[in-house]
Amino acid sequence: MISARVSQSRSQELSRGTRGAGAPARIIPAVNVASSGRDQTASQGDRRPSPMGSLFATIRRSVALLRSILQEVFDESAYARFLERRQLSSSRAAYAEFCAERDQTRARRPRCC
Amino acid sequence: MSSYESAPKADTLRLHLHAEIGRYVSDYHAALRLLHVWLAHGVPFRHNTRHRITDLMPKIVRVLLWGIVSLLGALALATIALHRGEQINALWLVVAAVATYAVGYRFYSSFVAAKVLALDPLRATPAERLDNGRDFIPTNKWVVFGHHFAAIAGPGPLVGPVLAAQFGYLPGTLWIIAGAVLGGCVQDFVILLFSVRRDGKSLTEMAKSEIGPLGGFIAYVAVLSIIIILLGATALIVVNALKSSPWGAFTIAMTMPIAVLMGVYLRRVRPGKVLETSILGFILVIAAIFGGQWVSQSPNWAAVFTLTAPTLAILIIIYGFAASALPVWLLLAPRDYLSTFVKLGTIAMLALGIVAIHPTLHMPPLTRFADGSGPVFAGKIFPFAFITIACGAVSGFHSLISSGTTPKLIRRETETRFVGYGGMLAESMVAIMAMIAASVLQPGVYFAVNSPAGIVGQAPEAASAVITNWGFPVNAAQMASLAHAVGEQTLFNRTGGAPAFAVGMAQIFSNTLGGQAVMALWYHFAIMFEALFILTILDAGTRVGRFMLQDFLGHIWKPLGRTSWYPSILFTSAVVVNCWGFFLWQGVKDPLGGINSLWPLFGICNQLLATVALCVATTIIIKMGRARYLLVTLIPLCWLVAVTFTASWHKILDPNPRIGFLAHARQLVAAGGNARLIFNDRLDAAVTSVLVVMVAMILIESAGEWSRVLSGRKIAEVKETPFVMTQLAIEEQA
Repeated sequence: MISARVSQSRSQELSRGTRGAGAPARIIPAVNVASSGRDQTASQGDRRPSPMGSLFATIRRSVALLRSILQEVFDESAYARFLERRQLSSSRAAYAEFCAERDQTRARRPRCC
Repeated sequence: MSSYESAPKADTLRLHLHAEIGRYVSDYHAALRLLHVWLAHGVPFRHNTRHRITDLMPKIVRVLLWGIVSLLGALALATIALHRGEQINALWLVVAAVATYAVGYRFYSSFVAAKVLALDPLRATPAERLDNGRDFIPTNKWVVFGHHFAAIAGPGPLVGPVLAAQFGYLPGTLWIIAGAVLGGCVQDFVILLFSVRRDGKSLTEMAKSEIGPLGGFIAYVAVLSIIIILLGATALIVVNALKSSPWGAFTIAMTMPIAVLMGVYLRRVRPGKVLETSILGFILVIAAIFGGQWVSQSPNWAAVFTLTAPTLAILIIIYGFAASALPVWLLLAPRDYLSTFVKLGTIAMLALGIVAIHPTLHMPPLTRFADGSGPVFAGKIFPFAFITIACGAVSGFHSLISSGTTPKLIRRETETRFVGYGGMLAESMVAIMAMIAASVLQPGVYFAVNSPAGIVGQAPEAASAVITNWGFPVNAAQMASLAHAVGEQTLFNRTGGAPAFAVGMAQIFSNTLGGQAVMALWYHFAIMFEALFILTILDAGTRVGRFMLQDFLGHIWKPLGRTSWYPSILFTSAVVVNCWGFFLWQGVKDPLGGINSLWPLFGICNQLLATVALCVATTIIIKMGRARYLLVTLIPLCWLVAVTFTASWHKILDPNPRIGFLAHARQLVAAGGNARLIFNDRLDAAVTSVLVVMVAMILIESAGEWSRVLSGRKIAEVKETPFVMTQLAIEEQA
């Protein structure tokens, strides 16, 4: 289950973006990974997740979170949302259209001192 | 069996309820709504309890834990404040800051969230209600935090503390820590929340609707002034960092073809893969830094890239105009990404470097320049330290970001605390790192780099003698050796803060990786990093200024307001570029280095904007019926007013020609000086006067509104969007 969640294709992940309904899909899954891990071990008797397993899960969650942050900061999530909104697949034309739309809002955004 | 039937027993339920309500709401109606939802949806107590490790601890352990953190912070603050005559380790500054930030976030921001703002976890945010997948997007709080931090982190928290280090590390450090926890973070937090409750309205719109049309107009003028003066001051920093530096000039010049290459790759080869493209761009920039070393050692190429300050200023002015008026997105957007990438990476590296090396601070806690005779900028600690360090402590500019993109991404009202208050704490930590970078330098070296030729002289021997006479030993050979180590011809008279920061950062980095042999690479990496994102600020700022001017002129003559009409684009771009170009040129020609005049002017502007933001916040708090808590914003407001008024008075009327613009003009007149310099001084005095009059006007306007509401002469009408129940919370619970 964990691997199934983690191995989601990048395009699927991007298409979820960071939107409300999507955000839990992108960030909460990391949390669910841990909780599902707990459920599994509980059903298997007294076995507890190993400390290394917890550590790896934490690292995996942190990396997923960091990647989400970077994708938002660098507009990759915005592009995924654009594709989803317009029902397009990624292409040169779609990206050019996205850039034209993005530049309109970017141009009015001040940069902080 | 419903979830509610499976809920814990009644007393446990009551305790949980009490804890949950206490955490988020002090508002009775909000508490009732919260209870209603829990009862209706039967998922009472899972909300937000997963990650709070401290909730699982017994109370005594929590009290002990926070007691230890507080004591550690107090010990570190006492160490940096009371140590005299001995050098201390930089980690004391880090511990003092981190412990104070932790206590401030845990207790003070909780108090503001619960008592003053009554955050409502059940109120749908504009990101949820108006979700359009473009501007309004409910986003995970960590992602919003990263986005917000990337937007507020600029050169200000790096340059301000470096300049203020002339007083010693103590005044600046204390101001950064206290100013952020009690002022800057509160400002960012409350403005973010108020904007969230008003569908993401901007500061100008909130000032207009809550204070009145005059408030709105002053906020508009303040924003435009700060943009223009910011651009002039930061452009001067780039000029001072790159003048006579073929290595630096080549590296920055190379970022332009690299950005175009990135743009082509992004649009043609791998559409939308910005992170991948930024990593490739970063690798090319590193290659350009190595190339710069070769250029600086090649007599022919070095001559091409050795530029004087006026030449650089003209090139930057042309660049600013072209970026605003021409469709050069292929260059600008990728360079913006590259700049953000380098900025975030460098800040992270600097933090790691400081913790790993924990260098010793060579700067004393207080220097003799506390008396106002400093060479970097003239004026006493009060008010000038508080004007010089704006970003990192209290920055009005942040209120533009807090009422810009960020409120449109916030998923839950309760997350404004983490993003607004927490984001500013992170920015403040950057300022502490800059203070450390400046203070690891030998004081003699620091003053040799930061003192203008007009004060210490141009000849290395003469300058060294003057600085040594101040009590900070340095000699020409030592400076020549340092300049050689960082690959520069000279490090004397490099005012502006950026070169001093770069030398400090290079020292820290070279002790971490590569040793002294690669110090020159680290220095030029630091210069490239600062210049790159200052140039990004220049092109973005010029465009924003142009749009604001077009919006305003559109009221006078409609075609001028059309953002796609080319004559209007050219005209307004030229006006904005001329305005900041004027200040840049003035700084370049100023024998005192320019920063002495421009940076305080920028600080006054920035604090003026913070004053506007805090006036808006105080007005809304009073209208919300929370007047008993108005000191939360009123105290930082009073402090900023005191600082702004005192600094303005000194800058206009102080009899010392190094401080007062008019006194300097009189001195020049008496000496038969350059008419242009006299005009510049008088213009600066006029600009400062206009700014201070605006502060007074918005204060009077706000105080009138407070008085009318508090005395009952006016019904308090909060212009919030009506309450709509969130669906996200219920979905998450389910």
